[in-house]
Amino acid sequence: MTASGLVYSRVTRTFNGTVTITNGGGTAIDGPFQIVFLYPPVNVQLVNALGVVDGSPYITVPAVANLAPRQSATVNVQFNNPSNAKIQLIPIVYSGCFN
Amino acid sequence: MLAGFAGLAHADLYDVTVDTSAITGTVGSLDFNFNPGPLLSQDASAQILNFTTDGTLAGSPVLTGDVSGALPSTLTFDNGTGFNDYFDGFTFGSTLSFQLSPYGPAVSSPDGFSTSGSAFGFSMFSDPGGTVPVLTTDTTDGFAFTTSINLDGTTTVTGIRRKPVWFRSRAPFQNRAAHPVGGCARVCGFAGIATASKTGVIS
Repeated sequence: MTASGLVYSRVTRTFNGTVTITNGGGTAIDGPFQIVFLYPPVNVQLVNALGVVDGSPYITVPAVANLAPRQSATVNVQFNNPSNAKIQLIPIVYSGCFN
Repeated sequence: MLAGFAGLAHADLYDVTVDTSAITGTVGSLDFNFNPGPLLSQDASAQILNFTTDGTLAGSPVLTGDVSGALPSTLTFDNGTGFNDYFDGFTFGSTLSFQLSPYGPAVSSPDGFSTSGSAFGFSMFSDPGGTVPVLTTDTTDGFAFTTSINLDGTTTVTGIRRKPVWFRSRAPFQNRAAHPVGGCARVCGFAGIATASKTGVIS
């Protein structure tokens, strides 16, 4: 999993970027894909989170039914970070739904 | 995003020129920021060079994070903190221009294990407080353009919303995988406001 840098928007007062997941295996993986950001720092919120699982926010990678080997998919991320702390997250990707 | 291009290799120097004649006399502001990503980012820097304008810089700039310098002199940004920002009041004239130079280990010698890039954003506002973006169709986030340093050391420019924009690379750069062109690339957006170009030498 990789991510872009984050640019700060004075309009939305958020740090914006993208996260990309890649299927590094040899077989296709069915979606949908959820990215969970474990234990985000205090005062850092994932603004476009779809929900929370076990206390950690997650987002869904949109419009990806499956990932073929070496195929990638990207999702926008938007963080509220009023303390301007360095955002360093631990992401985990899940396939399927949390319901 | 109306135009953009990916895969520009290291040692790029971008010329940026903005035709601000439509808002001459507006008392507004400028914002530059350069930040790491949310995973592991390699050290990177960026400089704003040769800022020129017939507008007027106003008041005292606000520097946050790893930023040094003051316009119209060189600004230097490092990605060492989460928010590295230069914000300054500005009364617009008919034009402004500057050069953007991304550099540092993430550009010249990517380590192969970092998982986040870094990104630069430039915005113009029609108010001193920096809340009303101008000369962009990005009314959501307000960026005139952004530039990303990718994990392979290449750079990607996105978000050119108005007018033909050319980004010119003054320095020779190496050809790399996924480089889109050999020699000269030009990106055009809508007619009107900002102009930039990019040319390059493949070695």
